[in-house]
Amino acid sequence: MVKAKKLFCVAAAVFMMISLASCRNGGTDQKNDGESKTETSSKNMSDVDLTVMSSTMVYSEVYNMLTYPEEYIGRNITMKGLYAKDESAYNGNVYHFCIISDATACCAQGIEFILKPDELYPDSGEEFTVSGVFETYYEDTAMYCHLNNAVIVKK
Amino acid sequence: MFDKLAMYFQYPFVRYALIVGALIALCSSLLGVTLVLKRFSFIGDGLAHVAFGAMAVAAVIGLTDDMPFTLAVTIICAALLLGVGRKTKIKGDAAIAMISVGALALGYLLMNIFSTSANLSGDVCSSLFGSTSILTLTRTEVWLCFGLSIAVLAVFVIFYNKIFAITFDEDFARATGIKSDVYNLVIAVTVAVVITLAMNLVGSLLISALVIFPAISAMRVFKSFKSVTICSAILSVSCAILGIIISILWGTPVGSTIVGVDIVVFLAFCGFGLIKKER
Repeated sequence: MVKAKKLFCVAAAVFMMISLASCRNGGTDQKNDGESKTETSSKNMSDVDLTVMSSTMVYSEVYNMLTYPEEYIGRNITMKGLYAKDESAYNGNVYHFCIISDATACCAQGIEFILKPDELYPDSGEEFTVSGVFETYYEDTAMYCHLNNAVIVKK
Repeated sequence: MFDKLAMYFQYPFVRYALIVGALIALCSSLLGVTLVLKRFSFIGDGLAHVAFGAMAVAAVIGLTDDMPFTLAVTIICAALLLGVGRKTKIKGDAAIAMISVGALALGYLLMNIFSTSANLSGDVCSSLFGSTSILTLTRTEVWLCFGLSIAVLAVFVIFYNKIFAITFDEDFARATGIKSDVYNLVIAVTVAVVITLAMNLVGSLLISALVIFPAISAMRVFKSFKSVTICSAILSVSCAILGIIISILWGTPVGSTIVGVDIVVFLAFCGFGLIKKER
């Protein structure tokens, strides 16, 4: 009985160490090949409608989109949030974002979007609903995500 | 409502959150009974603040994965408080309070001075109140939580008799040949592991609730160590699952919702306890 307990202890310790060791290899491995390209293929083409979800779910789903972008490429995403824009001091590009907050209202995340040419962007801070195709693209060596060919569904 | 819930269950991170949340709640409730009976209820809070401070240090020194570092620091502090604490001049609650506020203050100070994030207040708020951390675990973190929870459960099951002995009468246990220092260290290590894991579920300010409420609720109705432990485990897991479901359905913060459910159950069990006493 004592031997069995010791064996179980060792097994538990090994299991614990493996868990810790696996942590070191964790994180999201983002592709970083330095090329400027846009990926549009997808394993699962079902749409994601964030407007029907609770704020907790929306925040978590957007977090997952940014952590595992490869699983969302090509899917049509509809989301509701506050509009914000930012101009890069580096290359002068203007980026447009849909910002959503978590339930505690202390954390916020944004997804960049690009409207179709004939669409007008909302005013800064305005609440709106946007729908577009999720894509990843590269600028220099960094990978970014955005909703392309987006349309404003509702202001 | 059920349609919405069924839709949410299709998301892997919701399933992961429920599994990991249930496991963390189970581990914390098992240790909670021992800690409450040993009058170390507040150690969860103290160690959670230590873990917060360690996370801040890990962020400052640029560790991409802070869990192993946080775990190591929390284990050392837990050992100091639970094991070696008796031989020091600063004892019990004073030592816990000192380490708790000291680590919290230093952690926040370091995060401010060497800030690496664009949203410092968001990071601090998320660490303190859990926010949606349990729903935003990476797959590696899920496996880590799963592995550590199983290890904690294994330790509790294997050393159940020894833990029982040193919980009720440490001097008597030592007299009967039980190496109480070793088992206190085992408890300290498992407490540290549970605290580090539970930070994902409820955040560092609310961890004590996860440790204390299920045990205290069970003690309102049951009297033996075994029945209190079993009831505490069932209550804790149920409250965690219910809290997560409520928070995803109605968009409330996960940590505080779980603690809210724990409080309601505690009040209900107080009522049961009174009725049982009158009979």
